[in-house]
Amino acid sequence: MSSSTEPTPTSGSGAGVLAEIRVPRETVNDDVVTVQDWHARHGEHVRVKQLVCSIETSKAVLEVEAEAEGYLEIIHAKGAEVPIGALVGRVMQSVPGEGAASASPAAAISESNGHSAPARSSNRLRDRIESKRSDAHAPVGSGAAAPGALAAPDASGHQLPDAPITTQTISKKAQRLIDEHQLDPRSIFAGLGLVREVDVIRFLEKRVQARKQESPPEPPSPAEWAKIEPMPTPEPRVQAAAVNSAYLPGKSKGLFGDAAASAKDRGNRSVMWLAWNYLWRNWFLGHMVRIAPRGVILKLHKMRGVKMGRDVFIDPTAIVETAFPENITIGNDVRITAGCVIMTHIKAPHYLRETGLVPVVLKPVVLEDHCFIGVNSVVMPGVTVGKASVVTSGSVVVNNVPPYTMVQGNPAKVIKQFPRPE
Amino acid sequence: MSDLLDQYPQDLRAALTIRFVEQRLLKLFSEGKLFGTVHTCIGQEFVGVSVARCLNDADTLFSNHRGHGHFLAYRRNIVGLIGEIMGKSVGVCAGRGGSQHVQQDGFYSNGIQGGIVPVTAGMALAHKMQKTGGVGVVYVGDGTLGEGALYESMNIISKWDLPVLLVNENNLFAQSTSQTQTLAGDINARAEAFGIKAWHSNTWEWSKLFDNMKACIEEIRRTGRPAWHRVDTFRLMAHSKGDDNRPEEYVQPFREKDPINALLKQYEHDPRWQALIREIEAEIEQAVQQAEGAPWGTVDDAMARNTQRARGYRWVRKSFEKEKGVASVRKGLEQGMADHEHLVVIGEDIESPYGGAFKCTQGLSARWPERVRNTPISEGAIAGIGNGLAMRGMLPVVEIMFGDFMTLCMDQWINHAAKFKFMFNDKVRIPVILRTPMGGKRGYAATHSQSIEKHFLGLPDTQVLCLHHRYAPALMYADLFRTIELPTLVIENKILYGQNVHAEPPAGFDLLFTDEVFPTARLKPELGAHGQADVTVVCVGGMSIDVEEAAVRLFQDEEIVCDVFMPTRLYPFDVGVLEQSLTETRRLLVVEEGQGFAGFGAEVIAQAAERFGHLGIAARRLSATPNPIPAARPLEQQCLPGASAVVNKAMEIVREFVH
Ligand SMILES: Cc1ncc(C[n+]2csc(CCOP(=O)(O)OP(=O)(O)O)c2C)c(N)n1
Repeated sequence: MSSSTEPTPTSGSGAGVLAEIRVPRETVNDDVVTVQDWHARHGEHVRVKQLVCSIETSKAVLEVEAEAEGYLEIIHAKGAEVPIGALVGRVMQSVPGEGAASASPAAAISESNGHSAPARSSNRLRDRIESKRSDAHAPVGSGAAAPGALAAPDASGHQLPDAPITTQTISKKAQRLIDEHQLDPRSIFAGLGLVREVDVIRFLEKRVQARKQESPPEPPSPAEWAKIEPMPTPEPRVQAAAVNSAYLPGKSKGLFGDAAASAKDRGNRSVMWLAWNYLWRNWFLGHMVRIAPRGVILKLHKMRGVKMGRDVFIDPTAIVETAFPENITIGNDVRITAGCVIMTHIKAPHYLRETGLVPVVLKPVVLEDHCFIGVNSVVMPGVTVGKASVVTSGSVVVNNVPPYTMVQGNPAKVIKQFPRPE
Repeated sequence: MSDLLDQYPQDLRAALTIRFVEQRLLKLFSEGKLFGTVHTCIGQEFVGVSVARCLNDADTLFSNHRGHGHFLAYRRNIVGLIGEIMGKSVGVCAGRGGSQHVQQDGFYSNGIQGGIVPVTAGMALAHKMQKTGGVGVVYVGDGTLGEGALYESMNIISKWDLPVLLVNENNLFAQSTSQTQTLAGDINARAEAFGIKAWHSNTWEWSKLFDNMKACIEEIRRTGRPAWHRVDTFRLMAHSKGDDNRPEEYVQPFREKDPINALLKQYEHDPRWQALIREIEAEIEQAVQQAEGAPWGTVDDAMARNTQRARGYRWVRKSFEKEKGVASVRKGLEQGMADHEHLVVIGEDIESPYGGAFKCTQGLSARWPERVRNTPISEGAIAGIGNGLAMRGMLPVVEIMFGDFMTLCMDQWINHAAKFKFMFNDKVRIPVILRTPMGGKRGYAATHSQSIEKHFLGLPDTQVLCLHHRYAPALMYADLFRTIELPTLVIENKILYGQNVHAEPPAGFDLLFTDEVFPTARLKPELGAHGQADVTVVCVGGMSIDVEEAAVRLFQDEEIVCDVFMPTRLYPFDVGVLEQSLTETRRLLVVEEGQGFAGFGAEVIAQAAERFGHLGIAARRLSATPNPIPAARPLEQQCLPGASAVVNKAMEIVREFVH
């Protein structure tokens, strides 16, 4: 039991300390013992060998004497539960300031947190339950040899009537929202013991709905984004037959590669169109998005043919399809971060393609509203990333991602489901 | 010289009966009518007769694998024995016991060499405490002089002045092995070293044996002191049917001087003798016929009674005083001593002022000096003494200082306590309690920190209880003392002794209990109508503290909701208690501090797979790393699961299994 996490004594540093009063280890059982009583008041003058404190262990009551003459400073009040070795008081050179003498035992417990792992844990729990339903758990007398007093189960026998809940545990995420919106969880979530983020969101949703009926809509707050309707997404235009034909094996290895092979292979496209497409859209604009100022990047992508909604962010190092950007649809408020690759086509080397081992693929990609593509992730052709979903960094997404879902890995798998505002 | 037939009519009749019954048994064996084997005592009959003639119904007799003669001399129940060996319902144990496991009115035999000696000591202690005047008699062969349990018991028998007669049947052989190969030193000097008076007789001078035995047993009754009686004798037939390697020329001289053979020759033409023989043979024939005609016994609902499956569980709230685990254990024991006059506590270092290594018995010996006893360091013997006490209506509570030492009690637990009820056809009750603390996290290292409960799970007709911080030991002990029927192992926990046991759940959870005598506690998350728990967590013993901390952390940090179950009874255990929770979560995590392989977690998961497999349940175990527990704190922390490990495991299962 170290002293590094000891509560701060009232009178500052070690100056003026004549002797420390610590909890000795007495039995093999106890890690935590109780300050049973103080035999001198805070600030009282004590002499050497004077009995100052009684500590209750599971075996006996230990009497602790002052080892110096001076003024008693009480750090842990009567009733406090303290770990072995803890500093419960000190003998000071001068009268100490207001100490823990008046503090509640509960406070002393929470102060003594952070020693060894088990001690901390149990203290933490004990601290939290301090005020929990003291009415529902009136202690029985020591003479109770019969099984503990029971709250009768109801007639159906399986479900108990709900006990009144007076305290709650609130998850950190829920707490963040509660703080942000300055809510009072006790009144709002009465009847709920564990308060989750989804509970808060649900409440906020309802509140927004109620307010909307009274007054015109306010600008959406972060907690209300969930109910923003996705923009109408145009049907992705995929001319698979036409475009695929461009990849059929050709003999010419000209400037435009396979794409310029033959009129038949080119479908209905003219050679000039392909040249323009390649030079301007795929080569020039494709390079410009990497060096253009941020404000221009989105415009350039749109010029390339990417369809996108409002508030989209695309990092300059992301590759948003090199050859067929028109097959990509991006909703509102989407972030595509550094190093990501969004692909709508797969074109393997000649051998693999011609032997049919890896056929050419050309499929549209849809990134729905509010979705987030973490750095260095790859989204493969044909994938739809659902509304408000997260692709965590370095993932390779080969399957559709359902809305409100977090995926991770290669191939990306679902690791979490977000609460969905209903 | 007066006529032997006039002088010892009953004794000769008994000896002849034993001889003829065993010869008939050998014949039945040859005819293929016996399943298993028979150990006969042909040649040794007068030992059993010499003892039985001095005993009365207050006494108790313990025998071994070669006990037919001991039984017939004492209980005279021919059809009960033959029926038992033939496996029929007319047998004294209805065929459950067989040749080596015979029981009737104060007669018990068991097939574990030496193991019955501590049981005898316990029985004699009960006789002494109940002032019955009864003596405990136990037979040990010369081969059994190699067993440690014998010497642990002799030490205690002498130290505690127990009325015990140890009869050493010295027939020079153990199975196939000659005493010359295995026996060091002097036989009677062994007893004398323990301060036990040693007698010496033989079966060839059987009338002298009768006199010596009478004097010896009378002296035990008079002084209350134990005695040792070495009786030299010889087994004429094989150890077990057909396995005699001794050369015929070695056995032959013994056959000639055998006392019954001598009598048969002496009285060959005496009409009284002939009539006696006819009478005995007719009796035996009738017994064989009766046994052959009798139906087989049954094992009735043994299966059902050891695999209790409850009829749906009702959940109730309970309340009890918040106090340190050790205080609650002490309170439970103290209340038990006050409420139950026949409750006896024995163990090492348990008397005041020391009050046990963990102070659980502090103050008890001061209040009840007669009923609380320090023992020598003899875990095997004191477990056996507990068995003996329980068999005579006492309520023994045996403290085993550290759970690790339970290994030394294994034989008494598995081969004695767990067996007697069923094996003796439900005629024997053995309500013995072994209490012992398990668990590490105190730096006591490899041999004082283990959680080895798994080695005691699954023994039919025993129960294993396990303390955790959500049910008061005092309540558990009160219920145990009130309801005990079966040998019960109570696993306490070293960490728990110094922690508070209390009924106030952490905020956001409800604390519920099944309405069983030994309830499973449940920390049920209070989620309201919309919420569902994410993972069902079952934890063993002291892990309850870490699991509870983890459950709170998991919710606060990760919004992972745990539904936590803390069983108070580990065996029998029925997974049905998890049904409703598993249907909701479909994820099961079992946390135990001991080794996972074939442990409690394995059992819970196996049962869950069998019962709820259709739900597609994902399961995980969290247990100690597979190595002995190291001493240093950081090393120990790496090996034994704590709250953080529980958090990680729960996150793992929730992430990996998305339903
Ligand atoms: C603990 C134990 N070990 C081994 C055996 C196997 N066993 C049965 S009888 C026997 C020989 C016993 O010899 P002894 O004690 O001299 O008795 P005897 O058979 O000569 O009457 C042995 C080794 C057993 N039953 N129990």
